[in-house]
Amino acid sequence: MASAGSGDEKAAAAAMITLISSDNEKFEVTEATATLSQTIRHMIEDGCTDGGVPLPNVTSKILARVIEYCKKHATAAAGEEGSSSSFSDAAFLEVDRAFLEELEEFDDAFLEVDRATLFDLILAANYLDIKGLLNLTCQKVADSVKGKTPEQIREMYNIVNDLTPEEEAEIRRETQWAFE
Amino acid sequence: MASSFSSSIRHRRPPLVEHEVPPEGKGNEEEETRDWAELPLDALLAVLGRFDVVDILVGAGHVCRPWRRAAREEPELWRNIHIRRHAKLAAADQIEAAMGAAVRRSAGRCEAFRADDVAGDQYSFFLFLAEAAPQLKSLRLFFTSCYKISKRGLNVAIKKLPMLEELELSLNTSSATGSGFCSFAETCAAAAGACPLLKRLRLNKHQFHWGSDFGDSEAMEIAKMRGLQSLQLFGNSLGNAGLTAILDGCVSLESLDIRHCFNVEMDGEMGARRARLQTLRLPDDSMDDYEVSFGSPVMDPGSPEEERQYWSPGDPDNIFSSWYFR
Repeated sequence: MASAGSGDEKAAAAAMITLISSDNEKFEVTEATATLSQTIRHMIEDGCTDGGVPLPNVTSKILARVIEYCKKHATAAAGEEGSSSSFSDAAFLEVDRAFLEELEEFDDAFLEVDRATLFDLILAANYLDIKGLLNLTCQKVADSVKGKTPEQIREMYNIVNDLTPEEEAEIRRETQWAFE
Repeated sequence: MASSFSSSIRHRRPPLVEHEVPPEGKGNEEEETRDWAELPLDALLAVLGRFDVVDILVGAGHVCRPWRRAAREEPELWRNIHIRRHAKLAAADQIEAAMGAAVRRSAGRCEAFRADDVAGDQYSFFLFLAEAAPQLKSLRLFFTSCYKISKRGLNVAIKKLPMLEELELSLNTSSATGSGFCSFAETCAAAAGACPLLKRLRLNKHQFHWGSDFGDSEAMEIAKMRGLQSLQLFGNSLGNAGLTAILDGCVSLESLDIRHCFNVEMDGEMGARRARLQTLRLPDDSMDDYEVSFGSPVMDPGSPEEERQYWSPGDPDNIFSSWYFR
């Protein structure tokens, strides 16, 4: 990933990218922040970011949150890439522990959103291909449904039960083992 | 991608104009809902992929048709199966049913299978696993008992899993106190013969026991695993002969962990042999980073006092050791 010449890399680190939300709001971010998104990274590599990157799938409200996440995590990613050989080194981790803790606190606070926002963040993370954000948001859903029945999950997430009686009967047969 | 995104946003109550930030102070943001049933498939798989396997099988996989379809018909979701402790897995046949259902849904594409807290008496499951997961690269089993394990099933299965790169057979709960007497020598022999790609082996007892009678038998089979790079043997009864065989036989070995293997004595000759290892954890090394639960070692009552310091008479978990010291 960091195979480009070091001179180019320095120039790239300072370069700014404009992201344009679906409601036409412009966000100026550093390339380091933007490239946490693999989708945008590929666009930059293909040289199609002049005049801004339109993101017709992401509203300004969600894009602002996504950028907030990327800014915070770009710093962490930079540290990781820059010292890939020593990242597993205990001393390095010790020095970085405080920062990692801070990052964890940031993530926890970041996830305090309503379900509609969480949904939009998952879609944005998926579309923009931001692995860390997708992990974080999906894990939040997974934690919330842990040990819950289908009915409880439907209630939590406003999902309509559209299963046919035949399917319901099949499910009862399939999961009989769990309720004996 | 673009179309699936916008179609998946649905407003059930007072409709808001899509993509428009609601005016401040209107307070209608709480009424905004999303249709989680219509998550695009790749996003849905990302979500379901983080769910507990058993939750998908008995709960989340039956919420609605799209979720059910994804949970049943996307083998990708079942490539890496981890059966964790779960309230629905109280009985042995429930564990077997869950394991079977998970592997079946992988449609032959399961590459990693891990089960925590299994009794290991699932003879027919092991046979089924070998048939249904021929591409298996990683098999990790954490046993709750050392008496019930169907080694016959395990051995037959391993002979049919030639892609195996990682194998773990750990005895990890205090009910496995007799683990010092549980030998996987035949299983090791099966793996050495049938799994040429095996790189990583963890074979952890619950505790070391001086009276173990299988000695170097596991070590001698492990020594035949030529491609082994990483080996963890906790509380194993191997001695210097077994360790020498491993260091001579496993020519690719880079990492070795023999913590609590108190029959090993690190002398000068051993020092020279181990020089090529990148990481080495010795019998007396700290257990701080050890992930599995373990018991205090049971040392030979005939040995000097200082060698028995691990055993504490007040340790209620250590029924076995108190019996031996009576």
